[in-house]
Amino acid sequence: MIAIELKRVLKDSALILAVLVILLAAIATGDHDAYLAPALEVFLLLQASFLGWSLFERERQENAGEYLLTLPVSRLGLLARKVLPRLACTVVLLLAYLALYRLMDLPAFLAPLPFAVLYGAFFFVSAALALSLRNFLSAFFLACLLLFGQALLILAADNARHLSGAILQAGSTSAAFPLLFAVLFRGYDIRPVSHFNRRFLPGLLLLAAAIAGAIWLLRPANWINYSIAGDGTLLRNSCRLSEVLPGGARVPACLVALRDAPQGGSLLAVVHKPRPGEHCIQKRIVSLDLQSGSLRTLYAIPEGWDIAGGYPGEIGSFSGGAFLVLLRHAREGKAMAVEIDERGVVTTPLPGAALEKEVSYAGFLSRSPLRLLVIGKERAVLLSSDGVREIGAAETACLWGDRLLLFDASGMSLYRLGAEPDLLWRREGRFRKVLRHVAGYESRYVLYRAASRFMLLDMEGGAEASLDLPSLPFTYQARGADLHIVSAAGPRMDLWLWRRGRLTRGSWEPGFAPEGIRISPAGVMAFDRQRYGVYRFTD
Amino acid sequence: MIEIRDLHVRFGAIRAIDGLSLDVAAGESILLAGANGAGKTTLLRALAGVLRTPAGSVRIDGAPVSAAARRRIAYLPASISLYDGLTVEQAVRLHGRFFGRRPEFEIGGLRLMPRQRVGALSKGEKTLLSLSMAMAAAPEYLFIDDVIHFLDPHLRDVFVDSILRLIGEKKLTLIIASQTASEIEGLPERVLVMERGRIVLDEPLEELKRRFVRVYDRQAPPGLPVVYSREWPEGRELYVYPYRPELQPLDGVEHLSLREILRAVIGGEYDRH
Repeated sequence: MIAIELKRVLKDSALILAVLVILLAAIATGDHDAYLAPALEVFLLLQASFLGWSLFERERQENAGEYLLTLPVSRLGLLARKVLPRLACTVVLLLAYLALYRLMDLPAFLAPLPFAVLYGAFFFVSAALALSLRNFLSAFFLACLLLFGQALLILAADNARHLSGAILQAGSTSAAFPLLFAVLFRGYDIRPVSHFNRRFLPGLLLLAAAIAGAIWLLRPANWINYSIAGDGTLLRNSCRLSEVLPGGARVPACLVALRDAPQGGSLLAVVHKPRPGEHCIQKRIVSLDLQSGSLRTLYAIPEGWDIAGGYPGEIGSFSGGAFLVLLRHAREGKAMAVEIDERGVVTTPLPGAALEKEVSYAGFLSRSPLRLLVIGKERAVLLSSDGVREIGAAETACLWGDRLLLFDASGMSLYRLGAEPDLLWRREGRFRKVLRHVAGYESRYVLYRAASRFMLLDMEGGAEASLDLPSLPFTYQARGADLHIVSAAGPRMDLWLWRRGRLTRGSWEPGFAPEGIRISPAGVMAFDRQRYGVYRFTD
Repeated sequence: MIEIRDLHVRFGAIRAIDGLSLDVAAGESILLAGANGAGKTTLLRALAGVLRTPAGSVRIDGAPVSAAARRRIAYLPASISLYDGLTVEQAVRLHGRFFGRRPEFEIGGLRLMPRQRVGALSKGEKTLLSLSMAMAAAPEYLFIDDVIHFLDPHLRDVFVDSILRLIGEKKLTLIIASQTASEIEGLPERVLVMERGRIVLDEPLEELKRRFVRVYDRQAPPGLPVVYSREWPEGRELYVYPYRPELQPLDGVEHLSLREILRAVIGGEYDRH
């Protein structure tokens, strides 16, 4: 029976094989590989699907269904005798394709392993539809729906997955469909196929729904961002969820940390609302209790308004018992200060049109009268209800207490910010600030390069020192009188500690290649989508 | 030994077999009769194992109809199901691989061409090929659906002779469904008549012939168990079963052929429904 089946298989798939041979010949002789080689993959999938679907086509065409069932073989034995020749043919073709793929270096949509899994899945899923669907195209499209639908759902549910991984998973879980078919085929008999379909098709739908449900329910949280607070609490968020670590308190919202509350125990954060393919909308400013994970809305951001500038951890500022934040309306060129305290929210209009288009830092110097320091891409200004007053040109800056250090193209200047900005000193030359990546402007220490040397300035006392660093640091953070400097290269980080005038070197390997690094006085953390590691600073 | 207990088979809303129970002793030859749609084919399919029976049981020699049991069963379906694309030789070889022996290409003087496609054979030739394949396997149970009408008169004799020879050679249990009873009257020892999925008549053939009579209206006393009646200008024919002469002696009682008996039984069913 197997030999007869094999002959039939070769006869049935002769046309598709002919197309495959023509495609191969065209690829070998022409220069249209980029189009033809993927077409080869599609035809191979068609061929696998046809081989599976045609499992009982001969019995259908030759009226041999009843004869087949009278043979002294169990139903599973029959199924094996029908499947094995087709499977052998499928495997041979797949191996031939993979060999050609290597020899001819064919361009392809999928790598060999995911393609092999998809190819096998097409064969088995189509075989599962062999009795139920009399039309090959219907079977092929249903197989496409079951396989690619799953793969697309996996990709939608897990943004860290690649197509190959999704295909591998979809191909593997699709084994459930032929298994269901094999189980129900044990009860297959001469009754019209509608009798078999009454059990198989609902089972197939249930199974597909169960697989889809499992993919969706077991989808990872897809963490896209991490923050580390000053006390070492971590906050990670996806587009729909945020989690406080340790403790694991979860909040069903995308939170981005703004600033540690001065009394501790809570973070002021902004709730983001994702928009497909666009930037998130900032919806409201909340207070997040780090113990319970509960949220309290402090201020709902009006539509069209955004928080102006800043890095996580230093957006807005506390002044006189209130949290103050600068909002801008990009389209209308307006700005307003929002003061949030126990009594409620007070908003004050400000001349936003006078500000640069991009604001990288906005901090409050005083609440009454309302005065803000705003640093843009080109200059630092004082902003009040009366207008804007320029302090100086600024490519970047460093702020600590009432001291402001501005770096511009021709030098650097240190100011004391009182009622009027007071220039303490200015040095001409090419000084470049070492940026504190994803950490911001507020720092007691500032690292800068003067010629080829790395220099350290203590903004509090004014002392300066030369640091013997082999390469440009990624970020740095003051912790009391200590300075921690991070140099990152691949999975290993160099951690330098500057303490009492001495620089010592350490290292840390989080155990994976980080996609992002965050730093706070509590420590440095590294993360990728699903993993994170924290190196805590100690005294 | 065949034991069927409380068998139910439904096709949607239709009850093809409705609570049927039956015992068939080893070596019995049974004619299965009944109107179209009575459930004969369904019963044979259940016995041959091509139809699963979720309600009730079908046991052959004390065991369900498994793959191993099917090796001892030969079944000729009314559809004469064979692989039409194979040649006669390939079909015979395929069958021989499963049942162990190869059938002959010649039956009763009809020689089948080994290279001829099965699909190119006439219905009669296919029927004989099926019978040849069935007999070659030396089955203990032979279930034949209504296929005799495909054969010409000569081949019908060949068909019946072949079965009789097989019965003579070994203890074969035969159940044959046929609407052309006159052609196979020599085969059955027992007659089963089915109606709407149930057995409504189950008698040894000789007993049935003895107890099934035809009388005319003018001779009939009241209270006769009339199964079927026909109107003629000269009066009514009454088909009586079971007729017991000791209770109601009648003159002019006619005993009937199997064909006439079955026609009356089935005609009676049409009259009732």
